[in-house]
Amino acid sequence: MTDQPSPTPKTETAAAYDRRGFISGMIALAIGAVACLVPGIAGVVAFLNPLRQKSAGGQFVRLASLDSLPEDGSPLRVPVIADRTDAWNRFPNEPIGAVFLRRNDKGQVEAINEICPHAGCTVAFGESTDEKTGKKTQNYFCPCHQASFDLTGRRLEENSDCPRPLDTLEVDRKRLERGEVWVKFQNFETGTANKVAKA
Amino acid sequence: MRAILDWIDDRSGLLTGARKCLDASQVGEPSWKRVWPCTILFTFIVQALTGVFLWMYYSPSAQTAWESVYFLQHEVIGGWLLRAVHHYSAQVMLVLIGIYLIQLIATGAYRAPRELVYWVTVLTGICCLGLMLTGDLLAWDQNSYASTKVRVSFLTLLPGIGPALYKLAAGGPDFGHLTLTRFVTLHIGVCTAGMAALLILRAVFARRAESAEVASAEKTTKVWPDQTLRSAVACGIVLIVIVLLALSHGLSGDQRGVALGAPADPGVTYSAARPEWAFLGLYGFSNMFSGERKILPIFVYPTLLLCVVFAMPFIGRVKAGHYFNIGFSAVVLLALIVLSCLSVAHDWGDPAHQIALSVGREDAARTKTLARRPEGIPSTGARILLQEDPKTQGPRLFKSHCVKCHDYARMVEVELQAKGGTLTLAKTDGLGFQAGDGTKDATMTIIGKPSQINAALDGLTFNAKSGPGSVTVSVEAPSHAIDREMLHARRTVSIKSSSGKGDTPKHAKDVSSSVFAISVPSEQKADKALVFSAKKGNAISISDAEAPLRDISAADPCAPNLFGYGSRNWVAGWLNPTLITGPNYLGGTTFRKGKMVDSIEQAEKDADEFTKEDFAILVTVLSAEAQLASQKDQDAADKELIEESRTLLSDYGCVDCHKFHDEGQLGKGTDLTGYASREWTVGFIADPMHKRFYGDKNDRMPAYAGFPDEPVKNVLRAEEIEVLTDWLLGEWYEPAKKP
Repeated sequence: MTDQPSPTPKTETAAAYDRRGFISGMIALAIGAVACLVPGIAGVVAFLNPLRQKSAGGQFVRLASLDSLPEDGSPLRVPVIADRTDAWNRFPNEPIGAVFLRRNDKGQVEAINEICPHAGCTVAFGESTDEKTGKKTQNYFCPCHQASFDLTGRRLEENSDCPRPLDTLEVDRKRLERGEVWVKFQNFETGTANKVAKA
Repeated sequence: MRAILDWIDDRSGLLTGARKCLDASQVGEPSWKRVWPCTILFTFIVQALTGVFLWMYYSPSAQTAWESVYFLQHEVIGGWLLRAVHHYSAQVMLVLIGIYLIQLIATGAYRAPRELVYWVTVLTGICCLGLMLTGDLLAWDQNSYASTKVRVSFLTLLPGIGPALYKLAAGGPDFGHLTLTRFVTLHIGVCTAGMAALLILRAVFARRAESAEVASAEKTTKVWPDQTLRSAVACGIVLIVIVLLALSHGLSGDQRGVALGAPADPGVTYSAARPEWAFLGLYGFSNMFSGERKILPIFVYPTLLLCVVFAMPFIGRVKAGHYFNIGFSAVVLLALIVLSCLSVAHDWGDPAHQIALSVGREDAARTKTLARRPEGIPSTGARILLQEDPKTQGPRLFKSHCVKCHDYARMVEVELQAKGGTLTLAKTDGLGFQAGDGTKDATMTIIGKPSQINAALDGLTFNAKSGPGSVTVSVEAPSHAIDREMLHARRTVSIKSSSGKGDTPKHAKDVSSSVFAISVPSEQKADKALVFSAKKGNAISISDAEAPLRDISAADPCAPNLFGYGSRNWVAGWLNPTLITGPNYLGGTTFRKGKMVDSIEQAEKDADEFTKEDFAILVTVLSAEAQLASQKDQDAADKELIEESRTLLSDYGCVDCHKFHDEGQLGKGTDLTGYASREWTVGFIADPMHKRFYGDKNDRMPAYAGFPDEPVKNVLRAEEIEVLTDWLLGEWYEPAKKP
């Protein structure tokens, strides 16, 4: 088997052939790459579309009347009902989360998002009575990684897994004076020491 | 660097393998004729790449398939382009395989040692057709659903196993969720893997055959880089073709990329279903056979054909055989092309098909308009949107159930003014008069459907008093409250008059403004009649350009014309003695000679008591009962007037027969409380013989839901009556017009 060099030009040196061959080869590769890039880029642009979509939340939602909150400052778990969008579907008036509401000593209402800032589990409210003293302790407890929080959301353990206290939410003061509890419902990024709203 | 590469090569052998590929030789010069396999591989790569990204958005269930494609097409940036590239590169791939196959046959390259390459290429073509068929269904729109269902149902033609095969393909006795899951698995899993395997096998077999040929050839060249460069350029051209096709419907707007029809609805027959272009030849061929004999063109003949195609390497061993192969292929190809063209031409010339296509396009556009509302698409899927849409379903229900008796056609108002003479109409059937009576009038205002008005104007006589005169015709399509789109109607109703000879004056042709004047020449003798008629070639006629799109005309109307139902203009007709006895109101019913007509005619005679102002206020009061959304502002503006004028119905004795709020009783005339409102109309359509409406005096209108306790006996379901009513009242969603 004899491999003849390309016939044009007849007196091409081996080095010149190698150079030209290299250029031709590179052009071939470049055309191929660009040709594959076009559908690839269209695909990647479409793939990145979810970055455009905003998280739900950021609006004030009426959660409860002030009267319905216990006088002694115990928290009340209230589901948040709002419209939910799932790609092309819109679901009106569905539960999209829940908030703990409680009266504090200063006569204001505190709202805490039930999502644990560690990894996103649902925090529960627990009450226990000391057998000996009869004293009641109330706190929040996250079952996933055994973290506990006091009623203001502060972490109780020294080396808690949770990077920050439970996320508090803004309560509309004006409407509170009229006896209605309106809360600006939002979800926050989990796992961070700083409380950052989900974009 | 070298050390790392050497290590990789030592462990994997990849670099040596790559070098060996680059070092390959081919027989003869680098040539543009050899680029086809590379382009086929390239389109497969494009398909796989775009397919993976499409797969991230696609949801295969009967309630989410269309919706996910809609979302990708209209809400995802670049989604339409992705889908278009995927669709068009599939078509291009089939064409490239076809070209390559033809080349193999024509050059006899199916002969030894390349038989396997040839067979694998044929299988690649079949696999490509399979990908097209399965991929087509995935959008789950009207056309792909209907055409795929028909094609899959051909499986039942096979004796014995047919019905079982159909169930396996459809995932059940009928098309639904499981059809999509099966088809998506076939498309993405089986056929894609199959195609990849076939392409690899082709390359392996080709390399082996090529090596054998190179060993005994005189002239060989390296594949790299010159042949590779040609193949790469060919791939670049293929990409440009694909991109141009993808952009062929524009860069913006709803039509760009690949069309997406209305969502599939098993309850609706889409009669314009056609398979993709590649299957049209077979489709045309199968149409030449009827019924059960279709097993021949769909299974038997194609199988025989494929047997010949596969046998070609053996047939072609002799020269005569090779010519037979070429001839056979040419004939088959020609037949497919001719049959495809005939099929397309037949559809082009078939008005029913074209209508079904345009209805399909309207449904698609309407579905997308409804999907864009803030409420989005319900979780039951997008086809519900069209099912509950009054704008779409209203006309269909009307055509099925109401058009036997009722018209739905716009009436127009024409004012004729004569200077220097009088006008007499040829006939006055079916016309209402707001001014004049049709005989020797200087001014008359007539109301009626364009066809009725034109019949009256055909033979219009102008009697000149003295000297020059003129006839002015002005047309107004009264802006019916519901006629939102037609508020510019004044311009669309045009007046046509052909110029004639003899004593006809010259006047403008096809004037599309609403007023035009015919001047009568000064030589016109006094009292000589000047006739405008079709016979003389100078007829005045009016035409409503939008009527064909909007009007639903009864062949033999015998019940009121329901266009503008509930609006002030429509209600005004009931109180106009010339209109109420005409065909647009009670003219075709037994009430033509009833008490209502008598009362109205009597009221006209007592014109001193029943003034024109009171007439107008009464119309306003009654029309307000309908609570038309499109009349909301006007009713609100007139709110006080309406409230204080309710007593008019007592003053004029209407409540002697009609109940109206707290006055009057049921039993003699229809209840006017909430007249023409949604609730009133739904009740009326359900049972006009209810004592609230016509009771025993009902003429011929049937009860459409006369069995409230046994709904299965009703002609129309409650939802259908409500949708029909909403349409009559003009209450359907329209997006806010962009300024």
